[in-house]
Amino acid sequence: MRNRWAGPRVALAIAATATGLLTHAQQGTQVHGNFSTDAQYYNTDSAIGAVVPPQRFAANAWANLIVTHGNFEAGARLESYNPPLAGYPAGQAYRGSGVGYRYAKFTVSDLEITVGNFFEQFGQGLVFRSYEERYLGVDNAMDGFRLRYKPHRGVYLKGFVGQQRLAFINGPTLGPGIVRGIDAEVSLAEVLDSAWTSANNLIIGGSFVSKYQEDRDPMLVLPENVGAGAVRLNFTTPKWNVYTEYAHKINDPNGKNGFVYKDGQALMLNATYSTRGFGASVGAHSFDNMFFQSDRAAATPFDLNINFLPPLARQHTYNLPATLYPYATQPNGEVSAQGELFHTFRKGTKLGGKYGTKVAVNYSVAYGIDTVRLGAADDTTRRLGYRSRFFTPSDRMYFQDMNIEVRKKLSADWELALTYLNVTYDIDIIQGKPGKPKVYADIVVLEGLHKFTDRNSVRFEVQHLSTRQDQGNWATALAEFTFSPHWFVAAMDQYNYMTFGDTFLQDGKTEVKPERLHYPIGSVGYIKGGNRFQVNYGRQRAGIFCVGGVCRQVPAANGLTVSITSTF
Amino acid sequence: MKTLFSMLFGALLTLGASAQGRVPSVIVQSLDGRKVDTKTFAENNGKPVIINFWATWCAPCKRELAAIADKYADWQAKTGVKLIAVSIDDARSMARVAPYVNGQDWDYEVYLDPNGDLKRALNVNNIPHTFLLNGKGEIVYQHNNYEPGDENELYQKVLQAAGAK
Amino acid sequence: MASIRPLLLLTTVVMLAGCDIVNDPIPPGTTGNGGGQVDGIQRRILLEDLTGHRCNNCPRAARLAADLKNLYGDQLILVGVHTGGFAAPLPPLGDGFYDTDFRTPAGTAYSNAFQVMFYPAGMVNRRSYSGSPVLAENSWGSAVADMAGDTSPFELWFESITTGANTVSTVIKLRIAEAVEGDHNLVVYLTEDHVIDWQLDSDATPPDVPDYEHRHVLRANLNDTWGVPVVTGSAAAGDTITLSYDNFSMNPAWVQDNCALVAYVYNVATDEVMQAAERKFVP
Repeated sequence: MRNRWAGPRVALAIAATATGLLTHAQQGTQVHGNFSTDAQYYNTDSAIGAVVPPQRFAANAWANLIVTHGNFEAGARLESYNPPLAGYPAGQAYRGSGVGYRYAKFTVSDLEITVGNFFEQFGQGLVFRSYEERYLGVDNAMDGFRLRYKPHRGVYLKGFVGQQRLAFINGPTLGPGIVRGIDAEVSLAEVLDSAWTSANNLIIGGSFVSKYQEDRDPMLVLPENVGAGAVRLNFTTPKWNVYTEYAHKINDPNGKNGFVYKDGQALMLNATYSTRGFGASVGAHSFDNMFFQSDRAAATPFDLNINFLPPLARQHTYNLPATLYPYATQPNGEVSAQGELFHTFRKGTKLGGKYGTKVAVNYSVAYGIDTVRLGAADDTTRRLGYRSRFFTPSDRMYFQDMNIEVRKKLSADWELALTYLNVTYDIDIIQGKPGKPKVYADIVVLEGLHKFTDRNSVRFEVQHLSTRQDQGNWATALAEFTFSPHWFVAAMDQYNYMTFGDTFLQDGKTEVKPERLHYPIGSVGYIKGGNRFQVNYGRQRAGIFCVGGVCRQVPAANGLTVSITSTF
Repeated sequence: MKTLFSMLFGALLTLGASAQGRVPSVIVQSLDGRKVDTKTFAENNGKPVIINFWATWCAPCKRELAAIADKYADWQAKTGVKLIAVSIDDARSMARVAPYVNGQDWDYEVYLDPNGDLKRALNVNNIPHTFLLNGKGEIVYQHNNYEPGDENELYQKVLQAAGAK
Repeated sequence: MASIRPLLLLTTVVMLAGCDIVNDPIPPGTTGNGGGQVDGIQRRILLEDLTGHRCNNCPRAARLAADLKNLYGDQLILVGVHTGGFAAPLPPLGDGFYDTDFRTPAGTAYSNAFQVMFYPAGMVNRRSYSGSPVLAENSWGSAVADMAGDTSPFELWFESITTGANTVSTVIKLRIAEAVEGDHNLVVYLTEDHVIDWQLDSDATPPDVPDYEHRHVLRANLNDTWGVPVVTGSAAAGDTITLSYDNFSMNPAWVQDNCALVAYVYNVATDEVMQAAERKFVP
């Protein structure tokens, strides 16, 4: 049984130490932190299927505190979910209040020791990434200890042992597995220093991570220690940057891969070229059986992830493409590629005009991986499940996104941006809606910024999405009036009118009369220094909210939302 | 539990308000893969430094950096200020930071904070978030959010920091 | 260099502990002998499979439950509790496509009380792991194995089950074999097996299966959702409690020959099921 008062005692101890240190007015003692809350009051709204929790009012709140004194640092985070906002977090349920995170860190010459909770990443995260995306509800913080050592300039070593955070019930709950790992990285330019005369750099790194989980399964012999290793290489010149990382995981039968004993592999390749006014990037990924969670029976794909597999697709900022059809990595099997170009036509040139024009083009595509399921007869002893050809795509295209954005300042007061996207989206695989047909959508967005005066301006967006599948056509209009430096007022309406006709082909088959719904929402905000207050009121449609590589479903809601953030 | 929470919070707000912050020592990456200690950010020959947190997926962040880019040369000539843009793009979009920055023709010093270590150490909640350090490396001003025209307020603070050296 | 020693030690430990490569995943002798012999009253295990006809991953969990049933036989009692959004009938109603409402007030109460957030999910004797009794299907086997060797202070059985025209009556006996502390309640379920209806199944082509066989569907509670008290405060060894339910009225659409009654006794403070029993109407 966890001691309920352990967390508050720690926080109180930190606060007492901080007060003590400050009153002695010693140079170098710092106490800083932040506070953030999102609170919502829910109205019923059966037209949109709005979710209304029985408490009617929900609030997420966090307060972080960090005390630093010379080579010593300690911190804690208090969290409160009474109850959490609907649909939050992405994985296992949170409830109650308490200390969710606490640590102490000491630096002794080139060795840094952290005890308690910590976040860490090896390479790009293919075998290990512990991180938080607070507004999504992703937090797989480690609880244990971590060492970082720099034995020589340019050589970086890391090691850790710990358990991962699973959920929060008046305090963090931990997953059953124990995770440990080491990482080494050598940056040649830094190591050789004055002996290295070129402006290039070569960085080589390797990591090894393994997890331990007891096997009490009555039907299978499960491996209790499962390890994954990765090697990476990064070559940089002033114009080029080439990166590659390969990871291999031994047998890891888990709930997401049907308890098969096949090995897992991941490969990331990326090359970028950039010079003044021009940038280009090309990348390719292949993942096969790379779910790596510290509980093999983890309930959702968001819990206890040891690694992080980023989707190779552009993260859109406009509402319709970002929250309706975003791509999510398929860790069990995916081959994907992306290419991007950024160019600025300088002012004074023909295409540049008076102020310059910026163009960005992006193409990304993802396929399943070429697999052959092993028949029961071939697979009785090893239980490998399937054979796959690594880096060979299957016939099934999961996702394709072609988009182009042109941004141009027309005069001192006017700026416009026009974006076009063409999206192919296998909603069956990506959002787990079996039987639904692939979505083909065209999206156009016009964004404009007009400055009335030096301090007051209006930004507007008009977005249109047309498709004959899923929810049909959408139109969005948004206007945001800003009064620098403190105020803003915004209004947005999203209209799902489905089709230009009287009927709508739902699921590509059935004709139904379109149910045309508006989702209006208004916001007001006030910002001063490190504080920000925002109030929204209106209808929020269901959607997918992505930050980085993780997406979570947000249910439809109607009501008042208040957000307050402060950094001190 | 709740009273403890509010007591602590209240006590620490007052405490925190009295201390001048400094940039903590955190390891971030430069665009060529070298690791850099953020302690060195404050070193600008006694001139002010702006630390701006952004990401390639944050539209207001990009607007802010683009708006400042138009005036940056001017600001540098008058005050010697340096802008350090710390990108919190993670593994998903880290690769596009360099081509984007160059494609935009920006002159800032850009660093990568892919796992949010510096963001957490400076208690940043969401981006864009800007810190201004004076010539002595103390944080004298911070601002969250961006609206067109905010760069003017920032410049006023830079002038103050440069003047009150 | 003294400070590098802890890191070197860590490296060695990690490398050596890294890898268990399993070449024979299926252990010998894994059919039929379940939990083995115990010294006392064998504790039977109630596995409540929380499911819904629109939950595409749930048939996989149901198959896993069936495999566990093969392994443990009569010691494992399965009940399919249809609950949540995936169990709701699909509008428009009347088109014969996912129209049946398998939900029950009791099932909904359990899923709200235990905060079921994902499907498929299940509860094994409602024992909590990592703060919650709601488990993903791959944890069911380990949870059942944990309790398979247990004895129980309760002996629970159905003395008689008598059916009438759309009614059922039963007499249930609970004998306290060892002294027990704490309040305990008894709940009686009526389940129907071999119900043929629609089910969404990711592993089937096409995924909408019209003639899926739903097993052990919870149809009704013979008593309260949270049961009736059978032990208040404490009970001494030797007591036998009799409960009888007369002429409980059944929905005529339910096939009586496929039905069964399930009774279980649980500790009110911990929610954990201490003993369960099942008896089919037609053995």
